Amino acid sequence: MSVIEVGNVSKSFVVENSKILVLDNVSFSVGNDEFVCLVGPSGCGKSTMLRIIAGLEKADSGKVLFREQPITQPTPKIAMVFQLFGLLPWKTALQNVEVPLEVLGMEKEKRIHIAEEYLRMVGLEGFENTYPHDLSGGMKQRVGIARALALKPEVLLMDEPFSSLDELTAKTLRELVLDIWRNPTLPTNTFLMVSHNVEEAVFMADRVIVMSPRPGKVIGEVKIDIPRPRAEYLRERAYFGYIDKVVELLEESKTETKTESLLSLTAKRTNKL
Amino acid sequence: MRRYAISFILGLLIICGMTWLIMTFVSNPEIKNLPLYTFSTVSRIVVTLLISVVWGVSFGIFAATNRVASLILTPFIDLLQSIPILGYFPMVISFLFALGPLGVEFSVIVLLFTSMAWAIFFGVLGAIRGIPTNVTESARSFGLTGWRYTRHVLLPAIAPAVVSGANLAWCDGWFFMIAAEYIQYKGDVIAPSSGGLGYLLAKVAYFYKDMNLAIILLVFITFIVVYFNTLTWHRLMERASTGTFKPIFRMDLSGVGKLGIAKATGWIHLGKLHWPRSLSLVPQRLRKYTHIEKIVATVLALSAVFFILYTVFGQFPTFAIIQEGFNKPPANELVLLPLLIGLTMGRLTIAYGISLAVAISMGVLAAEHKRFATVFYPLYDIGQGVPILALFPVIFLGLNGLIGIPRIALELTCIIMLIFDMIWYMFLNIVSAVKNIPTEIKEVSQLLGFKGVKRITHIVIPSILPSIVTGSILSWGTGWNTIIFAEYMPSTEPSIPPLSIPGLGSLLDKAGYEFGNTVVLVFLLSIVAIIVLLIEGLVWRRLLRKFEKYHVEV
Repeated sequence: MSVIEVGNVSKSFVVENSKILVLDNVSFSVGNDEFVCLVGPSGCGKSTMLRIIAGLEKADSGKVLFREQPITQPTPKIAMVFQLFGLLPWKTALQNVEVPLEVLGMEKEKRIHIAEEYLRMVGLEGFENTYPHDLSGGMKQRVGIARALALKPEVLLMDEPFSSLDELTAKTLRELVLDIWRNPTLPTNTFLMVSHNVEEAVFMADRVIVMSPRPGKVIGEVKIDIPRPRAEYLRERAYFGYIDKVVELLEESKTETKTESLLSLTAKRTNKL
Repeated sequence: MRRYAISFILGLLIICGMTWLIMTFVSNPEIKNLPLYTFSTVSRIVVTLLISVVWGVSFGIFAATNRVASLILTPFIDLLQSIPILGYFPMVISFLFALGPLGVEFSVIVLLFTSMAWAIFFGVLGAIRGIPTNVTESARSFGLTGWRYTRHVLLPAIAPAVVSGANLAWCDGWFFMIAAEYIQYKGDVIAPSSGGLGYLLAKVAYFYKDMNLAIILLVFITFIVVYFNTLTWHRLMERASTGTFKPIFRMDLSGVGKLGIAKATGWIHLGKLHWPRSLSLVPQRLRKYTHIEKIVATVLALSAVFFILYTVFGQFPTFAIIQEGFNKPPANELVLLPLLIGLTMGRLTIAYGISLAVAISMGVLAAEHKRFATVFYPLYDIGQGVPILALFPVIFLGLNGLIGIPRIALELTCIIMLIFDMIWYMFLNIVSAVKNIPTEIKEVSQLLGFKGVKRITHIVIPSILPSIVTGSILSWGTGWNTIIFAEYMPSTEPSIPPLSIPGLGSLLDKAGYEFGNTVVLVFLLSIVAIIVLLIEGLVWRRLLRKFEKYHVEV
């Protein structure tokens, strides 16, 4: 049974009085215990897709289901990790993890206890009272992950979670995320990640869904059949074979679309930030 | 460009039409000079604006690129700008009055210059210092030096700062124009021989006590300010903020109305960050001492000050003038100085408290309800264009008619003026902060289910806190200016003494205008400067540093 089901979703934005189609009839599903990666060039609408699943944006048409129920607004069952961490700068690491629990109406002692527990899990013991300003990028993303997990969601959405980190930090955090995914004691076991890093996607995912440049369409799907933990398979032919397959799909779609139109949407995204 | 020309001519036509209407339907002996007065006020402001831009840009570039120049110029100009501009006024008048009618004209221009130039200077300085190193380095690696560097890097980088600084100067010019054109000096009313709108407004309100005409003139002036503001500055802002600079320097000048000002003032304060910091460090340094060391240090410092004062005032015959100045009126009122400072600070605090509360609630409302924002922003934009000082005679006239006791009317007018004046700066900063809450923070708050009060206390208020501090600094600055003007009202005729309410501002005005006592004037000015710098160093800088962490790095 699929946890998340996306069927024929289309979405367009109005930019300076002209309508731009960003998602065109996108369909895919994410099963229980699955780790799925959405890969595509910048501006292909993969982040928008993720935001629709999170309930932050509404699709123009099509259906978005979480356990058969349509998603209309954000729910604690689906948590999200942001590219730029999305931490509240005026709250300490602990408070950042604690605050969503407060919104749920949990009492103070209990939520502090939970927040401490999750910070320890992501390796931030001793940094509870530090403000984001004084944390490194990697540490900020650890707080972001702890905050998402503390809600005990079923689904974890990640929007390019490692792309603003240096490669060494990113590597450590990828392992951390995979450990969390495999941890049977945690309720969170369905992961959907957006990435434009093909190696990262092949390394982490069970399935890689490839999207075309704008308007984003699903142009292919690659099932990654490498045993886990995968670190020891990184030099094997199979790994590179999967990477080539994904890159091939991306290259094919590139020739069909004008690069020019791509640029304008990238610019729009930058403005939004 | 053609559309601009058409709108410009249309604006001129509307102004001509309004002038004609006013002249036809209003019977007042002064009104026949309306075209001349309008012309002289506008040209005065434009001329001073041009001078200020040229000075600000050249000195700004000079100070930003030359270490020695920066070391000397920046603190000096910073000190000048921390003294309320209206405080210079009596001094400049007494110096330039000797030159006759031309002197009066000249002193008005000097004063306008002091109200316009600093913002441009610090804007340019901040913009150049804010050019990212990767840009300067890449420019150097491509061999851009000298004029080429200026043309391709410096000028584009400072363009937004110059535009928003000049916009600020245009508004400030109108603000002070009203105060500069009607002055009572040693019993005489002094105005530039070519007159001016400020003179006309004051005359109508004080002399003829014609409330209707005063309001008509106020609308007239506001129209000129707002129309050309929207027409010229908004377009310039848009041009300066789009194009090549924005993606490189991430400057966002677009937005509601003159929100660019918020940026400009941000730069001003960036530019001077290094300066009053030393003051705020004094208590920290003191904290390291032991109790006895503190006492010794205090005694030593006090005796040093006493010694200097004693030598300066007691020993040198050249300083007999100073002694003499302290013997003449209004030096006798200096005994009451602590009380006067208290009264003035009290007025400022009351006005600040009210503006703070109103501005925060309006800012939060605008953040929470889009509909409120769409109604409120344009209103706010027009309100911002009203030259606040021009309201003074009108409000006083109205309140005096209602209450009948001039002193109480003046007291109320003073506080209302302060509120009007301070609230815009607070609101300006708060709104731009509310608008600039990063998308990710908004998404997080939505995702985590923040609603209502929780959203306001956890998301909105913390994210606007740094801007509240910046707004507070600015509104106290402008408040000091206004209070010097608002505690004292020139009288209608030479025979009647001017009306004033006790305070630091009115004493300053008395020393300058009534008695021409420069010594007391300078003394009072330095007291004001000390108070301003102390509050800034001890309160605002600390808060700014505390809230620095609240900025979201994107």
